[in-house]
Amino acid sequence: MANQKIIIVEDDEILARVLKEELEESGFNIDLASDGEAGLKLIADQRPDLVLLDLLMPKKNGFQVLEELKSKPVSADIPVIVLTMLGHDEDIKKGLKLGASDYIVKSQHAVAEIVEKIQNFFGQEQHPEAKPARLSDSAQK
Amino acid sequence: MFKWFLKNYILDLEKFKEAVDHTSDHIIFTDPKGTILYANEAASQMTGFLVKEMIGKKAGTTDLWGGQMSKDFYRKMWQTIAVKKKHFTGEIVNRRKNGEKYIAQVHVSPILDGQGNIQFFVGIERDITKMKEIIRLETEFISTASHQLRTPLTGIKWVAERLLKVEKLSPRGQTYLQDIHRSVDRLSSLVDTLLNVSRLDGAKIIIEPKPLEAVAFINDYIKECKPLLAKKKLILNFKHSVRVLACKTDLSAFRNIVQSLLSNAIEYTNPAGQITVSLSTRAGSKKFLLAVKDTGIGIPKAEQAMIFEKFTRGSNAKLMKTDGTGLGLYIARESTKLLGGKIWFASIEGEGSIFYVQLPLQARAKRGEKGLT
Repeated sequence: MANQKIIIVEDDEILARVLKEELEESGFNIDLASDGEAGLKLIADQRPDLVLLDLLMPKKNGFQVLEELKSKPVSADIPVIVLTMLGHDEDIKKGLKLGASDYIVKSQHAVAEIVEKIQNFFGQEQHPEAKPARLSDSAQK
Repeated sequence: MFKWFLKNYILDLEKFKEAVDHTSDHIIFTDPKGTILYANEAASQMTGFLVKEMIGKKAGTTDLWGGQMSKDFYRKMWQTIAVKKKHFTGEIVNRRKNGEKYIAQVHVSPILDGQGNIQFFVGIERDITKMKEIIRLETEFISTASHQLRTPLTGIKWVAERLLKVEKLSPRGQTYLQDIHRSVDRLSSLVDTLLNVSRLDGAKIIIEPKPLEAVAFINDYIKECKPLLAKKKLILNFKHSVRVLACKTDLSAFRNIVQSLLSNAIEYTNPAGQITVSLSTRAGSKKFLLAVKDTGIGIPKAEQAMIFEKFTRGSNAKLMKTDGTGLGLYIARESTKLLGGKIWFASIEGEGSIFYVQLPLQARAKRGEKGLT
């Protein structure tokens, strides 16, 4: 799974940087954008294998980004995992409805666990015959 | 004699009318068809219509302050008061004469004669627009604040994890860092608890039943508790009468219950004590029972009646552990209620407690905002 490209769209600089470092150590190729508009541009340029998308962001929020991505044929098939905080169930639902593949509740996980989840996500993608267990079931704990 | 009686009767009646005229709640009387016979001053103040404008018109229509709700709403209300002849209570959106909308808590009662025929209706309204707004702002504030708190908390947590992983620290340095990490975890769970309570209070909770295998769920939860159990040398047994227990329930509400009962058992049982979690259901039953038993400090008898109330902790619990929110059992009770279940317990101070939660195998979906009662 090495060299898969992930774009993290997250406005909190520290969270973005820690996540980037940790994912890079696991062999992923990471690019960062710190607001919705920059994120959209970067995604269009780079066509990543996965987008990690924060929801509350300046300029364009995560929902708007998600909507735009999914409405364009060129980006509609790029999987998006929504990054959220606990207690925002409505946000999660809205994100999934807009076409997000899954969600991760940031505040509930050690950063290493998130990497594991992303590795699992790619693992499932590569084995479509495998049981399509939802990340979210374990992300809830 | 009769004259004297009549005079007093009329005086009483006048006093009574004065009271109704000047009370702060909006009060109207209508005939059995809903035509307004009487309205007090508060009704006029709340709606902006003069009393004389109201008399003779139909209540609940756009002629006056009503007619803003769905047809279905008015039909159900009429069904309750005129056909079933019962009280109706609900929240209703109305419109003042100047076009401004307001939210009212409304109560309508049919007044029956000896034969059970409707003589007239009494409608009482209280303007709760401001109160609703305050509750909304409060819930929104807590939700925003907790989000704002969580971002830096997550930052501290993740950076501490990176530091432990990437940098070579002395054993003391590592201990300090682990202390930071543990404190952040505690702070995070406090924020979670407070948010949970604010959402329960704001009735914002959405119950969304999803398939869940309860045996595996509890096993997983117990696994998470292993470090704490080991630290206190507590023995935990999990007994389940069935190998798997498939149900449809709301994950967060169910987790709240399991978490609250288990963490209390772990917290308030002395080292080397025992905890037994059991899960059972009978064939053909539509319910299941979760029980958490411990050999802990128990709840003093005099305090048992209040133990589920918000911010309430047992006096012995406070002695054992100074920090605690007194919210765990409140959250467990409210979550149980939301799932349509029952919670109760038996406890002897100094010997232990057993908490029971009976839940339906199929919980019912529920939307946010409090519905009409």
